[in-house]
Amino acid sequence: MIEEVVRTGLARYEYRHFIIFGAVSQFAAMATECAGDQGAWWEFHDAYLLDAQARSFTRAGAIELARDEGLDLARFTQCIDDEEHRERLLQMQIQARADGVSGTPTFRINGAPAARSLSGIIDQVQAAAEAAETAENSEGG
Amino acid sequence: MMLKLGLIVAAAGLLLAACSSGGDDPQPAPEAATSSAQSDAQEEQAATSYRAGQSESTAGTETERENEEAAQPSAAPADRGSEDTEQSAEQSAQPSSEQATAQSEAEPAADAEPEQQAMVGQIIETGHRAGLFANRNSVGDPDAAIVITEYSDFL
Repeated sequence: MIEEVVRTGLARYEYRHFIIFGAVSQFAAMATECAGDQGAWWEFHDAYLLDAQARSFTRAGAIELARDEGLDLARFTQCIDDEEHRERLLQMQIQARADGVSGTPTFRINGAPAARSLSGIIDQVQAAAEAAETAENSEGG
Repeated sequence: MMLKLGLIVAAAGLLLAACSSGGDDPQPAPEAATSSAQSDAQEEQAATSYRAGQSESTAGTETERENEEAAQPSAAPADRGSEDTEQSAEQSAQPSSEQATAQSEAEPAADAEPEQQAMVGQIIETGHRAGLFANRNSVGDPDAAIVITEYSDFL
């Protein structure tokens, strides 16, 4: 999907936390946001997605990840302990509910429900891009 | 008159001929019966030999299995505690090397999991997002008209 529609400039991809598994998920989301403060949001995102044993879902695991990524550990630890991004995560949760999200993963294209398959999403984005281009041409012509 | 006599003689001749040919007919029947009996016997023999061959092959398979079991690692000596110590020692000597090989093959497989994960991570990082503008939780052209949003949970 990234290659098909993001790299081609058709669309931007955005990940939003939607906490459904309680405190552990909440902590992982918080740690990711704290890593994002130091430019390592995607590194944490990937690490958590790939961590099948959920070893990094603990405080110690998150700090270990932060150490591996060369982050400022004092700043990172303070961020997770103080839950500095609590409000941001809460807003995401409220927005998700407002968008009708009830499970994960859920995709939206410009806020509208997306197809359930990646190929469907790609088709949907390409169709939307073509429609936008046609509209733009008709306005210009 | 002579004609009638001739006809009677001819008829008698035909009757004799018919009788003689009818007498030959039963003769082949015993031959056929014999041949069918022979063929039955041959089939039975063939069946017996087939069964014998089958049982031989089964026996051969069992022997092979026994040999294979003897060559199997660890389990064979452990399960046959009543066997001679020397024999089990010989058996266990060979399997232990195989076992060691198996373990040495298994260890990298176990270690391969994190490596594989790291590789996937690297593919994600360098293969898909390399050169793309990434800002915190979004990737791609910030001015793109279309935004794909994924709501997800890491768990």
